Amino acid sequence: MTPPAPPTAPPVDDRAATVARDAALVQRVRAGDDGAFDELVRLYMRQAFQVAFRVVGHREDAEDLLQEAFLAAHQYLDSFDASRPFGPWLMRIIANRGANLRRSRTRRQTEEEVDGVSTAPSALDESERAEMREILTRALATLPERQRLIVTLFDVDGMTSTEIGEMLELAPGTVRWHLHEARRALRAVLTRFVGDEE
Amino acid sequence: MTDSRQAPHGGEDIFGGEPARDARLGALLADVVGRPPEADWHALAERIATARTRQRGSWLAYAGRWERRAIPVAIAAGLAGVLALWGLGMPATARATGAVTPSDPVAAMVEGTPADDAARSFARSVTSAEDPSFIGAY
Repeated sequence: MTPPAPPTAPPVDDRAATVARDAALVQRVRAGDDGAFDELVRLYMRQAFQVAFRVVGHREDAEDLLQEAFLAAHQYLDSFDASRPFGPWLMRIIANRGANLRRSRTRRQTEEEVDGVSTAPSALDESERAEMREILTRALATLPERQRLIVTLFDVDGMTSTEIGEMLELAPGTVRWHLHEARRALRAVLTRFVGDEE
Repeated sequence: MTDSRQAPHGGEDIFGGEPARDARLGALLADVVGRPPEADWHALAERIATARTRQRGSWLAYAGRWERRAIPVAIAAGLAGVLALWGLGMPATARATGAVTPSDPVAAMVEGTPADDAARSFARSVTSAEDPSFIGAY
């Protein structure tokens, strides 16, 4: 199964064009054009929501976080370096504010948002799957926040290490190291279900 | 659960290029964390636009927009004020000290001022009294 690419994430090849487009929009916003900011919202809303959902794990919280992040971006747009793409800057705001929101709402249950058809290995029966999910959930909870986010964004959402690095202000190599560590920890607890294939 | 890029020690080649996707681990993780739900994008965009309009009207937002510039400016203005007061304070003190220095009545009489006038001038400089007629009482 191929993880889906973020819906509106700009392709890496178009980075220069993306930077130019974002810079033009930001310039218009700074000049007082609200429509340009609405355009930025439309361009980055889906990707931002995806990241927000990964950070807070709850749909309504993700929507609140998304709104808060866009408002903060609008408020502090003067500090944005227009020679860089807008997306990673916005995602950093989401990651930072989301971490605070997540800490403040730890009692809230993570919403089950599975998209209908299960993607788990079909060889496992229902009780095994339930047990595996419980173990994997516990294993995820023991990961450092950053590693949990990285492995989810990479292996579930299909983001690249460069995109994740820009978002979390990490070098791509550092992202890959966190990914490696997270995968190793998760694989260790899953070996009894899927076998050690390494 | 394997990657196409394997390091000699059996893990990913974290110093090389982009690691391969682990589709199986991804599927298992997706089963646990779920996939991001579809949202009502139009409603969400409207909500953000409305909140932005509200934000613009608030004085907090206005202050927030200026805080990055206002804080250094306020610090600079404060320093400038302290320096100005300090700088102005020195001559002012000196001037004040000079103002209360009694005039020299002897020098005034040598220059031809009547003794009475010299005495009154001296008394005025000491007491700052507008009408030193009380001197005559002594």
